[in-house]
Amino acid sequence: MQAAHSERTQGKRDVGAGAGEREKKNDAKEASRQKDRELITSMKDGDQSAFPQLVSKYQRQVYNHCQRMVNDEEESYDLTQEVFLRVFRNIKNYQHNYSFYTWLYRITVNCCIDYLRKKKRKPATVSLSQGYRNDRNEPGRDQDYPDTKFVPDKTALNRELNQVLNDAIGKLSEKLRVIIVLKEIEGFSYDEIAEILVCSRGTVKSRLFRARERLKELLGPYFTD
Amino acid sequence: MDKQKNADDICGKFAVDLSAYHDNELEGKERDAMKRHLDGCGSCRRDLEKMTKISSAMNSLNQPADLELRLLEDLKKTLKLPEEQENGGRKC
Repeated sequence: MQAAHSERTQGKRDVGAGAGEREKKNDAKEASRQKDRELITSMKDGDQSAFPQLVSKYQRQVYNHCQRMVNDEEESYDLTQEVFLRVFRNIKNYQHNYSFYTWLYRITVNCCIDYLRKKKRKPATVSLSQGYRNDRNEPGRDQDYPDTKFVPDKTALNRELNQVLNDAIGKLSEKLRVIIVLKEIEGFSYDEIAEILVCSRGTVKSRLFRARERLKELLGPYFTD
Repeated sequence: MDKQKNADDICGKFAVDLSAYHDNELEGKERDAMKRHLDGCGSCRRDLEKMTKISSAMNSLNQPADLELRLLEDLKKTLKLPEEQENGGRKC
């Protein structure tokens, strides 16, 4: 779990890291990938005990991604389950050309997008308990008037700021949301995101720019100079 | 007026790269050009600063979920997997 987690956040933390430290991280990354390859080979050979190990190793990352994408704990749990069911059922098709992690994220992203699209097609319901949903014009949704008096607490990210950030993420289109989650929250590099989303590095770059422009509009009042 | 428009046009050309620069994803000539532009452009420097603030807040959102291990149990039931062996799983 540790190796996998550090692998994920490496993109950001590499900045400023020395060559030795980077080498260590790359070694940990490679060791984690090697372990995945072994587990997958075992699974393909019919060893069912390998699957729970993969689930234990990656369930939190998958759940966190789903939670950021759909902002609903129960739905995220169900989606996490769906992701691992797809992994189990499709593991025979997995090729080692790219990392298992990339493949797993591709499945996770697709599950979330499928869910969000289905949800969009369903008639809208008014939720009294949930903060954001997908659409800005959701019926029954309160208008968002930023509290301009709000001052972010520097010592801890307080609940209000969390809410504001989650709301802002929720207002992004699916395409922009997924890219901002992969980059800003999960720390993937552009190349990794391109691999997960099966698009070019240039597309990653321009979508991230657009996502940030939108976030600047939405979060502007909370992040003044 | 024209000067301002001209400055905006120049900043507009750097806008997409500024986001990539922030992510440490610019290299070589592009990176050098961005650095030079930032040296002389307060507006882009402020943009970069804002981007950094938003990123750091977003990054703090990544708190590990307290996901119960019932996921594994649920999956085993759905897939009808056998119970774990003594030396079997959860070690990672």
